[in-house]
Amino acid sequence: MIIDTRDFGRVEVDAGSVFAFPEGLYGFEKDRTMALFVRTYDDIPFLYLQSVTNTVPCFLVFEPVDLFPGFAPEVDADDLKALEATTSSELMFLLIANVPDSVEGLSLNVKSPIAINPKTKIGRQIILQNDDYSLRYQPFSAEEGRDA
Amino acid sequence: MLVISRKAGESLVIGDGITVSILSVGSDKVAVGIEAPREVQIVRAELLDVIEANREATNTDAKPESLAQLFKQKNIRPAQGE
Repeated sequence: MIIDTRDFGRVEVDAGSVFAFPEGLYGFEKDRTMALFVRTYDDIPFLYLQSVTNTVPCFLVFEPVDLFPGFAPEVDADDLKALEATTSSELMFLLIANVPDSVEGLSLNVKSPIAINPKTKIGRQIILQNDDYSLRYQPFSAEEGRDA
Repeated sequence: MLVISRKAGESLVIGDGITVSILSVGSDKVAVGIEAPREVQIVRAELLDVIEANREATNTDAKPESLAQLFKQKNIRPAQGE
């Protein structure tokens, strides 16, 4: 299907990469269908999660393994039920990125990731109880010994 | 902060048309019922932070060109998606 995107005009996305978000995302409750697509810059692939019905919201997202290895979300029963999954191992997780003017300050929302059930094509933004997971984890600042 | 003690089944009224009722009290959870006009938005406090983070993220340019340079420098290669 072809969708209007925030950053790339009209983009063709694979039907298999379109997910239902029955409750939308926090602050964007009306956007109930989101598409995932890749854009490559300088050989580096970037993943975007884009509303199908509006050009906003659009999020740059990362799989945890790339920038937050060891991500171990404790997904609660209500969230699993909403995603029609029985264990969190069935789910794929995406972390929303926020990119400040200086890109080294890139931060990831590890506290409330996007959970997707690839089988049922249902997605949901969940809020984890893990206390050490931050809304603004900075992978590169932490590396340099500064507070995340 | 105004502190009012209430038991399950009791309620209190805020201004014109907002009623907060204590439905049940458990060991570590309280069920609260709220009646308010449609235009009054009610969200759990911790959700406000998530909403703000989402808005910030979608309102800022992703700067993929600059990020690509940074990732090359750090030898990070994000997964292909699927």
